[in-house]
Amino acid sequence: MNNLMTVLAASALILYLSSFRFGYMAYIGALFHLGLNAALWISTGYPPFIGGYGSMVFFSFLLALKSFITIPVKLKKYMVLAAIVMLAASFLMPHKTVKIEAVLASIWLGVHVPLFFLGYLSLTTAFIASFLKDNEKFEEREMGFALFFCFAGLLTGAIWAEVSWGKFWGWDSKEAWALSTWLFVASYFHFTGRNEKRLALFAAFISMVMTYLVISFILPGMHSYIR
Amino acid sequence: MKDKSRNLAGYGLFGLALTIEVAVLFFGGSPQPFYTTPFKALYFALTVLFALIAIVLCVRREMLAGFIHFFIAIFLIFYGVNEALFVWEELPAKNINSVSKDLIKGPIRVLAHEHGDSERLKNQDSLTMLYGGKLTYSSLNHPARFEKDVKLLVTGDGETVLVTQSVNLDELTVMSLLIAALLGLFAFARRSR
Repeated sequence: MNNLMTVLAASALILYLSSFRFGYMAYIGALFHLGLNAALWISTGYPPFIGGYGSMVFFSFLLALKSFITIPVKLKKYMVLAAIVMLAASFLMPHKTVKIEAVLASIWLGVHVPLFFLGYLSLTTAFIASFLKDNEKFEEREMGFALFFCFAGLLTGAIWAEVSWGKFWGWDSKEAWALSTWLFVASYFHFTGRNEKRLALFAAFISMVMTYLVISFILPGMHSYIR
Repeated sequence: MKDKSRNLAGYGLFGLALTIEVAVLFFGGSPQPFYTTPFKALYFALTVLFALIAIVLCVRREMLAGFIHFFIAIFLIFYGVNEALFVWEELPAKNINSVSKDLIKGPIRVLAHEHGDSERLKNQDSLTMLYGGKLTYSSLNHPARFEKDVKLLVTGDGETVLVTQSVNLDELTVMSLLIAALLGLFAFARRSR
């Protein structure tokens, strides 16, 4: 199964790269990428958004999908590039199959985690858009989605925490950083100046990357299930 | 003037986010610092500040910004009350021995634990009860004394956990949410004038 997944990932990467020359290749690449997600799910027995490797494969797939829809044309190739970087980076993560914690066998896993991924997806899109000119309205719309989805993620996470850990909030390192990411996104909507807005967007993006990829590795916490 | 107040509120949120991140990096996500008196005073001041800013923003028809501040104020009240009720979690284990020994009935919930225990408890082959009874505790945030039914259990893995009867939204939390909702209604009423 591991060999099959490596072939699927490599094929998706090559097809995404060739899409810079032949645009339609990105769609075929996304099919291989979908296959990779499915293979990962079947081989591990849990959804692909758990653990470092799985979540990066899943998130890069979302980035590629997003490039196909509601994106200004000049932004599409950068979204595909982000998907390529993310998928390539996933090779750096250990992807062994491990027994997952009993606490993750909950309906809330399928609600809380995807909501955050949608929020992160919008935040990443806004971040990329901020480098291109005349995209302020699009950027603001994406930040609005990020505000909503991260809020919904925090809310559902709090409910799940109450069910599993006995309290809504515990200042766990990851949940505190997720809250601060949301606060940065919220500050974006308060600022009126362009420079302040960009500052808030950059801070939110860096905070998101830290929350998603770094915090679990450098700080112990209740969210450190599979690294 | 309107832009100034919005920018100020933005910097407030930005600063709060940075403070949380630095605090978590510094304390490693431990809730211990949040039980100290200076923090409680700061916490109370922050809650009031956010509620006031929310009202001001709504009155100035900055509805999204106002809503965000209301959410934070509600969150702070909600969390504060929740922590005030469960502050006994931080009591050392020896204090638990001094309470009466009435066995408890009904659903239980893990409060002092490693992560995932409530789920793990369900999957345990054996559970030995060390102690079951009532724990009386007083909160530093509220003068009233509270009483909770508790159990001390040893799991098949040899881990000791403290569990208590399931408590959902209790009166104080509901009351604080109502107050926050009333504040929100007040702000919206002012806006519609």
